Amino acid sequence: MKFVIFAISFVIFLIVILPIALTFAVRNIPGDVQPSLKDTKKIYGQYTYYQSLISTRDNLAGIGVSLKNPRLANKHETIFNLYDQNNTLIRKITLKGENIADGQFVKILFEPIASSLNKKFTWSIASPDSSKDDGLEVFLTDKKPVWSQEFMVNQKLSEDSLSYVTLHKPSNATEVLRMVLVDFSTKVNGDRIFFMVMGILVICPLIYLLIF
Amino acid sequence: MLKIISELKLKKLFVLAVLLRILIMPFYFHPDIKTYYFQSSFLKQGVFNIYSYLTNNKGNLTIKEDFVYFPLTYFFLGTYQILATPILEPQFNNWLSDASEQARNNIGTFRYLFVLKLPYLILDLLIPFLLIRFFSDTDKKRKVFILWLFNPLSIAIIYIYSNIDIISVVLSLISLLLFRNKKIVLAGIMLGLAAGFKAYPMLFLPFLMIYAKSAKAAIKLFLAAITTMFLIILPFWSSAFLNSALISGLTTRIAFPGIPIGFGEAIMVGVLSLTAFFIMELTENLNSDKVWLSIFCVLLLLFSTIHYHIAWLLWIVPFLIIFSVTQPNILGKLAWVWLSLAFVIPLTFDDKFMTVSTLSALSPLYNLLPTPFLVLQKIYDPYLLQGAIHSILFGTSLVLIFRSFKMLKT
Repeated sequence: MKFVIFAISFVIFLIVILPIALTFAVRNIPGDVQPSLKDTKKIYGQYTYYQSLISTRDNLAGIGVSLKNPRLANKHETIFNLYDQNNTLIRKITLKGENIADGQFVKILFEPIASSLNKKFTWSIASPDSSKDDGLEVFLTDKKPVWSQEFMVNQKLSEDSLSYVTLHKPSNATEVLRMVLVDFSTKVNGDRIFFMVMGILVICPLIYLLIF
Repeated sequence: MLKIISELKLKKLFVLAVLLRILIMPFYFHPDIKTYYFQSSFLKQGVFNIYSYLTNNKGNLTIKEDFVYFPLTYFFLGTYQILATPILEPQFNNWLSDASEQARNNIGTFRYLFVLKLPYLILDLLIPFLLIRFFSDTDKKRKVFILWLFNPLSIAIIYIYSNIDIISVVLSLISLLLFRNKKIVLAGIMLGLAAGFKAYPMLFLPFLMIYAKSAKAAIKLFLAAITTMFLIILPFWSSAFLNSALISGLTTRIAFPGIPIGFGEAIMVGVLSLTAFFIMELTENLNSDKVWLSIFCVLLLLFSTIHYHIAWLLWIVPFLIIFSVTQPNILGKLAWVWLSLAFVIPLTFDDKFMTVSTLSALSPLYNLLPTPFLVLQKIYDPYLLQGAIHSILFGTSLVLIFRSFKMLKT
C-alpha cells in the first residue's frame, strides 16, 4: 500500500507540483518563440552583425540566440553590444567561446531595461580576435517575426534576419505561472474534443474507484 | 486477463494504475518520440527501406537524424500511425515534420503525445501479466503485479522519455517464459523478434544458451534467434543500415569505456566484465529456473560499465522487480537503491530533455530553465559527481551479482 501511495504522490508531483514549482525558477521570459533556424553567419575578424528589434514587453533583460561552435573550436572573446533608439551604447557583454557548446541556446543577459515596451533597440555581435576557422556562428531564419527589424552586416543592410528572442524579467513572482496557465488553456480550448475524451477517461475510473 | 486481476483481487488497483498513466501521458514530451514517429511516417508514403531513404533524402528533410532502431520498429510504429490517423487531426504531419521549438505550441500537442504513447500503455499493462508467470505463490504474484504497476521509475521511463524499448522488453520477457517452459525454438524466435526492434536482447543469447539443458538445445536456441534476427535485417543490409542502426548506441558504447594499456590498445571494461560473468556461469552447475537472475546480473554489469540512455533502464526493471520479490530482505531494497541511483545519473547530464524541457509541451517557458547540470556546475564538477555515482552503482552491482551468483548455484 505504501508503494501505491508513493506512486500516486509521484504522479501528482509530476503533473501538478513540479510544473508549478518550476515556474518560480524561471528568471526570464521570452518575448516570443524563437523563429526556426536556417543557415548561419560566422562571427569573426572585421564582421559585425547588427540586428534591430522592437521590444514586445517591458524589462528587456537579454537576448537568447542559438550559436554554433563546431568542435568547440572558439576560445576567443565575442562582444555583444546593445544600443538604444538613439544609437547610444547602453549595455556591453563579453562572451567566452570556450563556454559555448555547439548549437547551444545562449542567453545573453544584462541589467534589465525597465520601460522597454515598444521601444527600438539594436544589438550587435562581433569577435575581432576570431578567425574564419574558429569563429562562432549565429543562425539566420526565413521566418522573420514582425517585431524583428533590420539586419545589417557592418552597417550594410541585409535581407536576412537573425533567429533570436528577446528575454524579459518577469514583473512579479506569479507572472510566469500565469503565462504557463495561458499556454495550457490555449491548448485545452484549441482541442476541446480531446480534453472531453480525457475528462471521460479520468472521471470514469475515478467514479469506479470511489463508488464501487 | 480480467480473470487474473479478479483472482488476485487487484481490480481497483489496476484501474488506478491505468488512471495514473493516463494523467501523465499527454503532458510530458521527449524529442525522441517525435523523431522516430517522423521517420516511421514514411511508411504511409510506401517507403520500405527507411535507412537508405533517410540517407538519400537527408538534405530535404527537416529532421535529419538517422533511424537508429532495427527494422521492426519502423514497421510497427509506421503501421500504428496509419491506424491512428483518424484520431490524429490533419495538422499532425506538420507537427511531426516541424523541427523547431514552435512545434510544441501546436494546439494538438497533447492529443498527439497521448495517442502516440497508447501502444506503450498497452504493452506496459501487459508486463505485470507476464511477470506473475515467474511465480506460483499468489502473494508473490500480487506483489510483483503491484510493484510493476506502481513503481514510479518505470512510469517515468515509459511516459516521460517514451522510447520504444518497451516493445523489446515485452518480447524478451515472453522469450524467457517460453525458455522456462522448455519451448526452446519459440524462445529463440521471440528473442530474435525482440532484437528485430532493438539489438540489445541478443546480449542475453549466450547466457540463455548456458541454461539450455543440452548442447543440442543450446544450438537450437542460437539458430532460432539468429535466423529470426537475420531474416528481419537482411532485406535492409546496406552501408546506410550499418552506419545508422548497427554501429550506433549500445554496440559502440559497450566497446567505448576502456583502460588504456599502451600503444593504442585498451581493455574494454564492459566486454571484460560480461566475459568474466559468462565464463563463471559456464563453469558452474546452475539452476535453470533462475535464468532471469542471470539476465538481471548481465544487465547490472552492463549499466555499471557504459554511458546509457535513461530509457534503457527499462530493460532491467522487470528483472529487478522479480529479484526484489524473491529477496524481500536488505538485498531486495539494495536493488531499488541501485535503480534509483541509475535513474539519477542521466538526470545530471547536460541535456535539457532529461529534465526541464520534458515539460515544454505545457509551455515553452520551461526551456529557459537551467538544467541540473548547469546548477551543479556552480557548486561542483557534474562530471565528477556522475563518475562518483556511477562508481557507487558499479560497487552495488558487484555486491548484488556476488550474492545472486550464490543463489544461481542453489
